[in-house]
Amino acid sequence: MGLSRVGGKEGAAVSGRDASLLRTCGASRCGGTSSCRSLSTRAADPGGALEDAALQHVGRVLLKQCHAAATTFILEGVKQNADKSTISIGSQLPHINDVSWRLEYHMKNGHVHKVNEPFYLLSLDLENGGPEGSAKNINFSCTVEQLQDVVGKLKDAAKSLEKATHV
Amino acid sequence: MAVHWCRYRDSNTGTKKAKVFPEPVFAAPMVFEFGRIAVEFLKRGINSKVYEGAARKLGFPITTVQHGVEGLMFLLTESSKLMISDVDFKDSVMVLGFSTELNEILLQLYVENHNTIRSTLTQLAPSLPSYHNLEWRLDVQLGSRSMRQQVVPMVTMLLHLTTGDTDNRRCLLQTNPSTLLHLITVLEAALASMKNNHARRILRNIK
Repeated sequence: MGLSRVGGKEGAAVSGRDASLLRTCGASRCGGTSSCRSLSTRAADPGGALEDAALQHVGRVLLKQCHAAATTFILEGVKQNADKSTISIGSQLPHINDVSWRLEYHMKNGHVHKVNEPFYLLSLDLENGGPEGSAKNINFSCTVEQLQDVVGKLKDAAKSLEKATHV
Repeated sequence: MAVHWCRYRDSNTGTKKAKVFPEPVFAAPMVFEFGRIAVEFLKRGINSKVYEGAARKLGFPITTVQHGVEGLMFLLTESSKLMISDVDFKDSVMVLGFSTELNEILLQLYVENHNTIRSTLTQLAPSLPSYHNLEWRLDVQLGSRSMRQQVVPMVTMLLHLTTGDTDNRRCLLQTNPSTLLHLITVLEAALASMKNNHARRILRNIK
């Protein structure tokens, strides 16, 4: 949850609760396009713009609030001449969503034969890659002992989380 | 100047490579010295001034000295790369027709140095970014500029990765508690997959 900011100004905000409600209704696209449409046509009839069939099951008052919020957000964004990079939502650290792994066996390479060592290839899926932007995942290799080390450390973190909830 | 073809026997694949070995008559202490120079070069890199000094002292042309040392270096690297046993090494060197004393010196050289040479060779191999260390921290977000009165637990992690010996990367990452538990489950399954019969059979048979 959280408010979305446009270019640092809090003048326009879509309340998180309403945004999540619209998302679950699957109506966000309808609400957004109807806001745009109501802004672009001069003789706009807000009631008419919300007559969309997909939005019928959402309460009228809530719908009007969301429409107003979305319209204000768009207006503010246009006023600030914002693009994708200036619209920020929440924390910027890359967020891990998932991890995938591969178990491989290193037999030999061009310089050394008879290596005969198993190792893991791990790939962490990230949500917002951070300053690199396009970095969608982090790939690295580790030996069996190193993976055991990683799992041990993650378990420590989980244990301390559990302890914190009991305090 | 006699020239010998030297074949290296690898017990798994049979007769393999060959190398021209120029051979003036060698005395044992000289071979020992040349062997020491070869190992030094393998550890620290080639220093051509040593060639000049040796050539002047022995009265041989500098190219002969160079080929001798390079031949020794090749012998040691190929033997270490293939990790051949002492018996195979002795058989390979016997083909050259040196005296038994010389063969013993060469075997001694191989046995003493093959581990260090192998670790040097390992550094030449291509390497992927590999795990070095993971630090973690438990944070709770209590509020932000846009919203007050929050309680959001977050785990922040600093992942240290190295590529070869040169490139060190530090990645700052975040997860929430449920993803953390999911990560632990998935990685424990990964560790467990090493212990099943399939993996054990393969690890046992490819040796």
